Amino acid sequence: MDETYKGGVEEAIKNTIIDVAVSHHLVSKYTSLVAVDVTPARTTDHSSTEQAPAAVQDQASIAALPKTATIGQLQILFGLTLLTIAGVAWRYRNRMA
Amino acid sequence: MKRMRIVRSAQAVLITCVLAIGFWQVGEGSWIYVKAELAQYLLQRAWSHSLAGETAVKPWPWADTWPVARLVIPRLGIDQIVLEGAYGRTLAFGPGHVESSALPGSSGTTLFTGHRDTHFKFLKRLLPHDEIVIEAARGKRIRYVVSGSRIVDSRSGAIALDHPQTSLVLVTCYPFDSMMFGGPLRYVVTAERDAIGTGD
Repeated sequence: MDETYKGGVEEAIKNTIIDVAVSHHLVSKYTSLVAVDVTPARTTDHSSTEQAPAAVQDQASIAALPKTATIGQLQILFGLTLLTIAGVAWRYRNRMA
Repeated sequence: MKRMRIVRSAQAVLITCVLAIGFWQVGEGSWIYVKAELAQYLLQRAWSHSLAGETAVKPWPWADTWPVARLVIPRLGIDQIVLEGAYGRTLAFGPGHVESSALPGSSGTTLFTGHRDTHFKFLKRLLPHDEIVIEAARGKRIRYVVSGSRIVDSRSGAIALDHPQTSLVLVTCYPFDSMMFGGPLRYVVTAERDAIGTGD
């Protein structure tokens, strides 16, 4: 670029700069970098499946409903089992020792 | 002799631990049922405020839901307050109104779900032609008559919400008396609006 001050031909210098910059991927006065994403995050051929829920919007999927059973019974049973075990262990603890 | 004493105290500690966990589990399990009953009392109070014109009355200060309807089944002596939103956190206190379905009192299909071992335990005793009365906002009463019940696999089934008639669908888990929870089957009761006996 300093060649311009030295009286070089503008056009010739510009071409030289572009040649060098393009071949080496450089950012210069006449060139810049553009990034192109070749792998789109969301491909267009999936749009049909994405739109599918809209078609069944007037239906409530039962799977989407919450599970309607509590762990209460199971917990009480588990607790009572532990209490029984503790009781039996207490009863026979002297024999075990 | 010393070794025996260590063994004995280890036994005592172990038994105490098992005892403590046992009490904790029984307490925790029972609390689910106590909470389900207790909450309904507070909800009945919140509901009477709702009828007096207030909207979205919170049954207790930190509640993240509010009563939307009152569910009455005369034959079974059922009188429950239905909460907005069918999530685990609301279902612990009362049946929940599925937000994507029609509001109680408006036309369309209204969907309620409840726990099969607390609030919606009565679903198995519900018979065709049973009367269900829904008291919606501002005291509007709608009579429904049970048309039938079926067991649906939640992995494949769906409930149509575009039913032309005003209907009420009650959903709970199935089988009722199973210890295990989280199964795929659901018990679905359908009731149609009774055109003749619609009061105000």
